[in-house]
Amino acid sequence: MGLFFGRKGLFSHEILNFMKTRCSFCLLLFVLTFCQSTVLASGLQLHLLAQRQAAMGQAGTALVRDASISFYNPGGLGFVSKQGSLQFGTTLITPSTAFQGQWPSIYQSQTEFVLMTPINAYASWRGKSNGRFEKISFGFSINNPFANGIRWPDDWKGRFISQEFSVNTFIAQPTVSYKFSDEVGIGVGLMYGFGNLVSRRALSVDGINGSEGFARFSGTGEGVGANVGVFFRPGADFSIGMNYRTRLFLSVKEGLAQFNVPESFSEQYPDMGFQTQLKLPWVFNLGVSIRPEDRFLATVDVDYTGWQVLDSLKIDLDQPISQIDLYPAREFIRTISFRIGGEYILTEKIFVRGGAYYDPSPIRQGQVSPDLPDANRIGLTTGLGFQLNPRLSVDLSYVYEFTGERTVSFNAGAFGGTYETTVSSVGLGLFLAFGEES
Amino acid sequence: MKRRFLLSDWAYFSHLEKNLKNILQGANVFNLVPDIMGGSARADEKVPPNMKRIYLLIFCSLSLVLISLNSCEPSILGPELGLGNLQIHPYLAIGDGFSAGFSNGDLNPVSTKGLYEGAQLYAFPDLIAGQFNTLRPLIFEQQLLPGIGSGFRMIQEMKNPICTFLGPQPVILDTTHGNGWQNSWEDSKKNHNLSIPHLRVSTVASDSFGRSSPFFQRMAGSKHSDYLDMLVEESPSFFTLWLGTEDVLDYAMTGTSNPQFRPTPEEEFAKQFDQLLTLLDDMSDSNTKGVIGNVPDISLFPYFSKTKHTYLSIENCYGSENDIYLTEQLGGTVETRKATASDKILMSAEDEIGLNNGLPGRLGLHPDNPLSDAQVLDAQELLEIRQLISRYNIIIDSLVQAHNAKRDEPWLVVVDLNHSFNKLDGGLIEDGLILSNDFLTGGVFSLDGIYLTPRGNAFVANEFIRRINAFPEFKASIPTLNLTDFIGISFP
Repeated sequence: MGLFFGRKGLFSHEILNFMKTRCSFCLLLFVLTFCQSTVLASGLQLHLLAQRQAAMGQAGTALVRDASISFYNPGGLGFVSKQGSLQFGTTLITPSTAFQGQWPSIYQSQTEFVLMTPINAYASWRGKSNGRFEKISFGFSINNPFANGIRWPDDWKGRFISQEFSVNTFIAQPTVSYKFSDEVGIGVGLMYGFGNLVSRRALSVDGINGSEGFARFSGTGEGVGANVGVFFRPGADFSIGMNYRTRLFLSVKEGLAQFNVPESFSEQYPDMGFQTQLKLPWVFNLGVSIRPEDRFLATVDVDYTGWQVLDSLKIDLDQPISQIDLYPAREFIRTISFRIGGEYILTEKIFVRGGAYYDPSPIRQGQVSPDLPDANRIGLTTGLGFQLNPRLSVDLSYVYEFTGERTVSFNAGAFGGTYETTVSSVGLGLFLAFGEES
Repeated sequence: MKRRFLLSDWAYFSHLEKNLKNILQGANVFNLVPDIMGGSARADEKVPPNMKRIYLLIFCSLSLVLISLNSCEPSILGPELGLGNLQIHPYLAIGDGFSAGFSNGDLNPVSTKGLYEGAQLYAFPDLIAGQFNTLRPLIFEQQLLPGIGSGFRMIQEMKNPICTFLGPQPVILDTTHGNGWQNSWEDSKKNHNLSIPHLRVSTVASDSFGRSSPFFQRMAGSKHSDYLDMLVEESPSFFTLWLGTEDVLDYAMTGTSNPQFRPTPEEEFAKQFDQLLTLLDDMSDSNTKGVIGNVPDISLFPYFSKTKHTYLSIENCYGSENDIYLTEQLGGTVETRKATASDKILMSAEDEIGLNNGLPGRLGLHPDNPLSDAQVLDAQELLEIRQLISRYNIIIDSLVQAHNAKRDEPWLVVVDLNHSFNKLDGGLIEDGLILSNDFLTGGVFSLDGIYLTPRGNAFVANEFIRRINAFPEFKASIPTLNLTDFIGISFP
């Protein structure tokens, strides 16, 4: 189906009217409905890779509109309606976790404000129709599919296990896709991942001036992986996508370990290098999208994620320090998550989106550490798309993610309690399309 | 079907929307935006439409951002706790140096060094009172000794030896006592911590202890002849009682060889403990409750467990383990032999091993220059002390049982501190902290290797609190302390 384009100007009256009413209505709905829940959680995997998909339950394996499909499913790249497309976006994410100590402790704490701002940029180009390369498409993407940001107050109870743990990864992916026919396309992308991590925790070495020791580990790493996908479109209103992204091990070769200890121990704890591997899981996605009527599109994704590769962050210090047993092994388990989303074409220029997802935690009871206080997550998503003119559209997304209270422990550190996490994300994306239409 | 549902759904929302629209137009909410930006209220014609739309877009996005950032903070309800059947005012602490907050004393038995404000404020009864206070306001006063008090040990510096593989070694500074620390307490405030360092079960009714103990003199002045005499004037609603450790401690600290420090015989221990409980029973009302700590195995404390039975001698920074020689009393004869792993060399002897004392070889390292019997607990002596402690604990258990039987419902409960301290041997992890009986790094024991650090006191306080919570008759649930809020030993 073709896209509808505006008659004039940057913003039409429809948009204006819509904002006056529906926008405020949505806000109200969010405040009233969702703020009663008091729990939320953040994991290492971010599905906020593009605003349209984020608003549709974060499903995207069988959704083709723009160049972001090059990451969601390289097989669908040839099905982007315009010959060329560019997309940029960013998301503001504010995770917040509350902690309550185990009975009968009355201890409570809350993570400090962290703002994460993942970005995404996608480009795609398809060969001219009837040309030599008409079946070939090229894509390039850069985004942040894995990230974590958690910082607890300095005097918090669990600081000897984790004070701060932040990870940010970028994946740059050149992609090539071959469209066999109007029904089938395949694609493959080479993922170059790079990222940084910061981990800090307190050391039980007290200074006579009241200071407490800490160890801080920071480093950057890189690694490569692949992203392959197949896309079927048996009918105009029905698509199926399958996608597999390999695991990605980011090797940190020159990390910096810093120790803040009383002066008399400074020789014992010199700053030094370390090595580690940040292991990111493989993901298999299966998606279906269907357009039961012209104005409505529905999609479902199932993700199977091989979290078990992310066992633990084992840090190898250049000079071993016996008293620092860094990270005991954790065994993650594979998870299956479900995502469902829809898009309703309200007018020629306005698209209303919504969705929900369920993402179970890969971390077992007994191994939940405050650096990643994970729990089964439920997300509610919504968003708007505005077709500003034939070439440009703007997408807004809002995702609210929460978990039930989860009472867990980290047995290796004899640390337990109840965690609650909520994550609010607001995203803005721009989509530019140009060239001939298929 | 799906289509119909969606359309009717949307019709419903459109209806709501119209109402909302009317409300919003009435309130002029959206027209305020161009107003602020210098436009006029009904400005559809006057403000360029595109500008107005941009303001609106900004307004809407900002609202979204603000809402998502400010609202929906998670919060978890705290547990419901309570004192149950406990009356806590007044709460009195009955005990010895462990209850008084005694810390960082010196290595001699019955030393006066180790009582000062900085340590008293972490005495475990004070910490327990603080936890009671989270449930119901409670005043718990102590006779604080300001400043350096009766004196204490501290780490002056950590010296890095020439042979760096040894790691930094502490240089201990002994402070002298403060001026007039023995002056009797004249503050009119009530004292709730009735703990006297070095008070034994056997000396609770002894007026010679009353006369000779500067700590008792300070607390009781000349008004009372002995500890029970002082106690009889009190009327606790709740008490903690931890006595008995000092009945054997000085004996063990002198290698069981100093006749001045005989341990309290079992019969005497039972008799005096019974007298103490009888007094508490008589002077308190029927609502009074108490928790009694038993005697830990002191031979696991760093004072006895720190020093290895071999000596590391360093020649050109090449370490070699040398045998240590000691003397052992066997019947009437004295024998010299090599130390084995089952011998406990006292911390007070550690610095003297290897010194040149004029005798052949160096002290402890030559068969003709062995450590004296007073510097070592050999396996036989160790057994004697452990057996004595376990018999004390049997006595405490049976006396508590007997006194509970006198009332309609149990009012006393024993906290098994012996078991608690045993858990430290080899290390105990809590909240990511490792607590152990290691000297300096274990976090529990202070520089004297016997008495507790703030973290050690918090550990003991939690053991008391957990016992209170677990005892069904009290029906109490008291919040525990965060061990991570308390320091072990501080280093320069």
